[in-house]
Amino acid sequence: MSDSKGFLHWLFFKKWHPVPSVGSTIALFSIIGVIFVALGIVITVINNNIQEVTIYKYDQKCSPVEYNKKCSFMYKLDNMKAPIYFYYELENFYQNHRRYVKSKSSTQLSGEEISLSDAEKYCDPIIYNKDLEVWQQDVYVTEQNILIPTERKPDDIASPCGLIAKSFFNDTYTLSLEEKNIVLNQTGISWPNDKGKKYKRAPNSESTQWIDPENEHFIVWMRTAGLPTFRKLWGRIEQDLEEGEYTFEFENNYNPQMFAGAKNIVLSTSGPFGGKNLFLSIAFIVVGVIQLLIALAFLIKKIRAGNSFGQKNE
Amino acid sequence: MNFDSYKNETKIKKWSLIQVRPPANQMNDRQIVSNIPDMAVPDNKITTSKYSSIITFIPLNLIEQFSKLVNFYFLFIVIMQMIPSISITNGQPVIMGPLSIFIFISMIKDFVEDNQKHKSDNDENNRKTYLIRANEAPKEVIWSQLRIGDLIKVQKDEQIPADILIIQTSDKKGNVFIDTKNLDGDTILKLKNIPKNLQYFQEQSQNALSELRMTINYERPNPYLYQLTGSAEINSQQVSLSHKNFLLRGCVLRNVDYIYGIVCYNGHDSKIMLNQVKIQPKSSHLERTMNQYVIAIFLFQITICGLGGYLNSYWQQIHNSQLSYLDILNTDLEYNFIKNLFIKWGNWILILANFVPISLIVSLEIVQYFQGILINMDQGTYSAENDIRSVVQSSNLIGQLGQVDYIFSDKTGTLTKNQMDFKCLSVNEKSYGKEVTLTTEEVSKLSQVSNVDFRDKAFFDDLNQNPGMGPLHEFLLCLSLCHTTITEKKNGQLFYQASSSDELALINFARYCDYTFERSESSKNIVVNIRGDIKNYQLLHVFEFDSIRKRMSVIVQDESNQIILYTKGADSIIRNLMKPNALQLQEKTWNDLQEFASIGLRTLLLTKRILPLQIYKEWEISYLQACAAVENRDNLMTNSQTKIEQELELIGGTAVGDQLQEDVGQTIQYLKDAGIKVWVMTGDKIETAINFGYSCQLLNNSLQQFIVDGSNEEIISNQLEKAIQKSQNNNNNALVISGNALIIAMKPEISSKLMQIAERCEAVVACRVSPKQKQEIVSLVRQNKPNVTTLAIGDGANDVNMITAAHIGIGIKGVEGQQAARASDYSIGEFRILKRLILYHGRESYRKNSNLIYYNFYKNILLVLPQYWWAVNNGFSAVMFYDQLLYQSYNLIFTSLPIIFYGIFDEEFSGDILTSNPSFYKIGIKHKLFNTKIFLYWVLNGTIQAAFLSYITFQTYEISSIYNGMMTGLWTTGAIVLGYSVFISNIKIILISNTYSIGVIMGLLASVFIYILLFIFVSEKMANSDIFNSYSISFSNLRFNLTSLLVIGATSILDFSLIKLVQWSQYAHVEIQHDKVYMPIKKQHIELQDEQQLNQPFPNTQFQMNNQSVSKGSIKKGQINLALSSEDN
Repeated sequence: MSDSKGFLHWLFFKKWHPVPSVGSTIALFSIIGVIFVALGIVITVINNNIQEVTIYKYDQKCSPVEYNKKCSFMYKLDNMKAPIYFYYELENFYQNHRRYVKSKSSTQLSGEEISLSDAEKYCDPIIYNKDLEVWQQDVYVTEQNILIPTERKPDDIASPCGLIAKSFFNDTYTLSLEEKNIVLNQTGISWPNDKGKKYKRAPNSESTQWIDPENEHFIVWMRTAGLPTFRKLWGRIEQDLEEGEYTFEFENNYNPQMFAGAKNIVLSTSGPFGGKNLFLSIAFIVVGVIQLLIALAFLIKKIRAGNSFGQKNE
Repeated sequence: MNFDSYKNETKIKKWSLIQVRPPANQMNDRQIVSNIPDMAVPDNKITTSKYSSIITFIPLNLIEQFSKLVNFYFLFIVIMQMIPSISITNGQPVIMGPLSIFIFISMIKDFVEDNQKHKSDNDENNRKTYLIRANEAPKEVIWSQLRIGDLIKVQKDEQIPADILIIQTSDKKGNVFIDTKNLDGDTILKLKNIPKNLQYFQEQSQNALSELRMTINYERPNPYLYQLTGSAEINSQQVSLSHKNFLLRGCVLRNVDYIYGIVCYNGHDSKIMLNQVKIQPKSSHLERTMNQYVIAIFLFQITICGLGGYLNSYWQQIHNSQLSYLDILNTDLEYNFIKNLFIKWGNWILILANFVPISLIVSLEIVQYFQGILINMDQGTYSAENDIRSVVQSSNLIGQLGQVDYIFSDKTGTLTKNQMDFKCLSVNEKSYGKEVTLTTEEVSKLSQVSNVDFRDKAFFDDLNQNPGMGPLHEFLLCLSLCHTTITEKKNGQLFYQASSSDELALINFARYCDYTFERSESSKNIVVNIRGDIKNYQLLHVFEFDSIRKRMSVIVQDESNQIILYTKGADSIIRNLMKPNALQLQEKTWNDLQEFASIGLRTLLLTKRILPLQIYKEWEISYLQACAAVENRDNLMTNSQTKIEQELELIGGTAVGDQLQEDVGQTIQYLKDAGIKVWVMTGDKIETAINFGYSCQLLNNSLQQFIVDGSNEEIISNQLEKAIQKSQNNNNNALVISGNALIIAMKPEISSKLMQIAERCEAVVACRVSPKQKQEIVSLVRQNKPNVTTLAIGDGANDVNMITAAHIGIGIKGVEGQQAARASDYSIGEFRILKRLILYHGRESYRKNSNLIYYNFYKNILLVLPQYWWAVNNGFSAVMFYDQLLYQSYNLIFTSLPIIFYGIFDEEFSGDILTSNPSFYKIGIKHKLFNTKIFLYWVLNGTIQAAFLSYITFQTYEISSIYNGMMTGLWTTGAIVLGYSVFISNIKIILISNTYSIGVIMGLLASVFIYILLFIFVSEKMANSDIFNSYSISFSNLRFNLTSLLVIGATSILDFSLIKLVQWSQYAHVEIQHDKVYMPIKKQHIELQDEQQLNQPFPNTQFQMNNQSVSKGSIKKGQINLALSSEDN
């Protein structure tokens, strides 16, 4: 008993009572401020070393603008170091809308069959095959993104069902320099473990599903973005790019007019903390400066008010 | 007679449905026949527990739980969560998880509390007693089985199981002594007896008693201890019964071996049960304000949710053509502006449901409970002298202890020890007792007695001059005869059981002078040992003391058959009954007594009257008639007594003094320095009260003193008016007001004036106050100043009303029993403990509990509002981006422990600093910590931090890839935001804490660690969760570390500067005193006292101090102690 009492006493009643003085607080804020500003500068330098190229509204570069057609355009790129990440970027697309974001069935995506009531509960308003886009209704999209025409009953439960799946982004790209094809590696673009665990093809996928859930573009798409302008990884270029006029060929399937937005291509290299992020460098510098200002304000107040500012305890 | 036709029990209909027993005052008068139990009246079982069994506990307690505002709100949320179109959780009431756990904790607490009552009820109901029923063998039964009409036998030192009529005792004269401590807190034994005309029952056997058929008529149950009259009829002989013939439940039988009695009131009809103070649960200011905040935050929530709904409808209208991927059809609810608004409104309410902190009540209750335990364990609140620990009975009022504006204190027993010492006397135009001339050696030769502080050699010299005669002899004889003391022999030693501490002091003084009261034999004989000479006095009549007559008398016949009346009583009363002779002696004695009174002593006059046999015989006839009267007996007796108490001759005057408790002066001074207004209420007269006021530091000469003692409205009004004028812009005032003036001043027309002046007084002395007035004064202050906190402190049964009337009631466990302590919210052993209780525990609890309440709002704002801020990115379409499991664990696990540890263990200043720096207490009186301004600050603080949190996280996580070119998604970023909410709200604990212990830090780390563990678990193991895989991709990279740094830098570190700024400004002008003077003084005090007793002419520090001019100068705090004043000498 006395032991446990001693233990409790040691645990809770041996108290440390620091009383930071004005001076030490000023020092603390100055140090933290300097660290933040310094970090901001370092991040800025790193950001500047990350190459990022955005090709805005690439679909407009073909004339005439036609959908479900192949199209290509030329774009001049600087030297880029591998690995180079190839993104598509959508603007004004609200993947984070309440109606959209909840419209999917995790059970179904993990390869299990779901009941009609579950489908209605989770996938509303896209429940049946007939609710899907026309191109999705009698097709099977394989893991390698190849479309195989398949007959499907309109009144069967769509698999995968839901708004997210239905709005699957299906532009495809190839990239070449002077007729020499540059490999866009489309494997390993989804999160490790997503494929095969969270997204699993159903036992007889081909006959019941309109797309293989292990299709990595699909998996990437299903990870809904938090902001209305978002980019998603489409492929990886595992070789350095030389400076030159590159040919971007793409299948123009996805119509940005349906969301009154735009679709862009982003090519980016990566740094120690991932892609380019100007916000980080600005925010660090701003917070650092504010902390320095606080230190300065305390200092001025201390000088002005003298001893009557601060705690005299101990 | 048909015994089945009892009409003692009636039922009335309640809500025209159930039949219930009527309240006691609507019951029938009772008629029973002895040994024929009335089975219709419920048995002797008592139930004080709130719930009768576990089966009723669950539904009833659930109703009680949901009548709490916060719980009801969450019940409403549960229902909303089950409406499919509104639900954000697919119709699952997920909030049930944490809600049921918090309610379960609350229920366990109630259950444990109720179970304790159950246990004590059971203990009481299962006590054994001896029941004798006709046609049955006498047997031992449990208390609860007794019915009215039953015959029972109670043994010595047993408790009486019900209110019973005595019909036989082991005492030959039919007398019984009982201890009524449980009932009225009185420690003296009381005499009861068999009805005079039923004495012949004494000879009957147990069997005969059990076959007795006596009809007893008596009144319906009432709660008045001394109101019980009735009559008994046996063999067509009518016998009147008075309360003297009944023993009440809860009393303990003393001095007799056994009694037989007939149960008259049982169970809840017994007087002790009818007297049970139904303690109304008091609610604290903190709780009431907290509920207001809950309502305010709820309204705020409803508003912003409605705004969210509107914004979404509006946004959708604008973007309608751009949202084809949402497949909104004309028939969908979302298509309609108004319908969508209401659905989104509902969605938003569910998303922001935790705006109202679900864990607030539970964590507050837990913290208060442990704060109570800390008070109990604190050595500083332990009264070593009386071996009493402070006990917390209303832990919900702990915070309010830090906000006390007014203290109302009883005097005797609360500020003083209620140990009367005999001090002075005045006989034969001489006063004795002010000198200390006896040496210790000489004293040791005298009888060793308690309660005497008298060392005047002159008295003994005069006494020895003519032993056995003269005025001094008369004086001592009167003391040894005129009393109602009972003797007890323990191990051959003589002990007195006096009816009051005054009487004890007087009779001990007589013994000190070798006039020893040996015993009274069966209330018929008084045996006095006068210097070894045993004398017998026949006791003819005793007129007991009561507070209206303010005197007591005995009529005795001495060995020479002379009949003498001895009367002792309050000087003001006795003076008018005196024979108009020996005027000079009367004058001198009167002046002496005035002088004694002016130094704070209580005085009595002793008189006698020699009764000629003729007069006595005539009077006795009328008196015995009065005693036998059935109606109006008490009045008749009093009148008759007054008739004989005339033409009294003066013997002398006595003065007894009460000792101040330790450190009372210092405590009062500190309480006043803390800004608390101290009112002392005493029954003393004005001079005594003022003098007492000085001696306990309540009054001093730096205070402007107003005396209000007028006898009519006009005078009092004028006196108050004058005082108000004089006290303009000045708070250093003291008011002395008499009880009578107070009654008049409490009339509605004048009471505002009284309050006006009382408000400007740091001390008020109310004298000549009756117990009822004490409560009225407290109520008056509460009525006139609804926002102040009042604290009443007292020790006796007469303080109970005052204690229950005040916001906080404190009972001192003392000589006068437990009544006050039981009715109180906090019970302590000595007055000085109040200082630590209020200035340290109260102040700290107020501070911590305020912060705890704020923090609970804050952490939930930090949890829910990031979603609202982020909603600008999706047109306020009401998305909850947290994983449900993690979200619901937030209040339950991630942020619950540290704030509880904070509430229990944090300490801004140590107890020693706070008790020696009363000015730190002012934050509570001025409501500096718990007010709307600071509440809004916390809400705003949380709101802004939530915005930072949300904005920074999304801007760093969703703009570019975080790892291997991969982008995160909404759910992952949401989990990160939740993580930051956990981090930031735990860091907030570090920021608001003043002290850190290993346990507290471990609690903080554990909270964050458990979050991470649970996050890992969900993210690795639950493939169906939206945040599956999130941990590995979002936590273990540089981006996360940078973002964390940024978030903490932008929230917590900026917070830190604000907290420090406020703190430094707050204490800018405070000089903290480390009151180390205190301990040495205490030591010095003891040493000096010893020294005094040896060398100094005065034994009585109190006496001496009053003669000193100590109180004339302003007294510096920390230097107020009795000893110092004698050092000045």
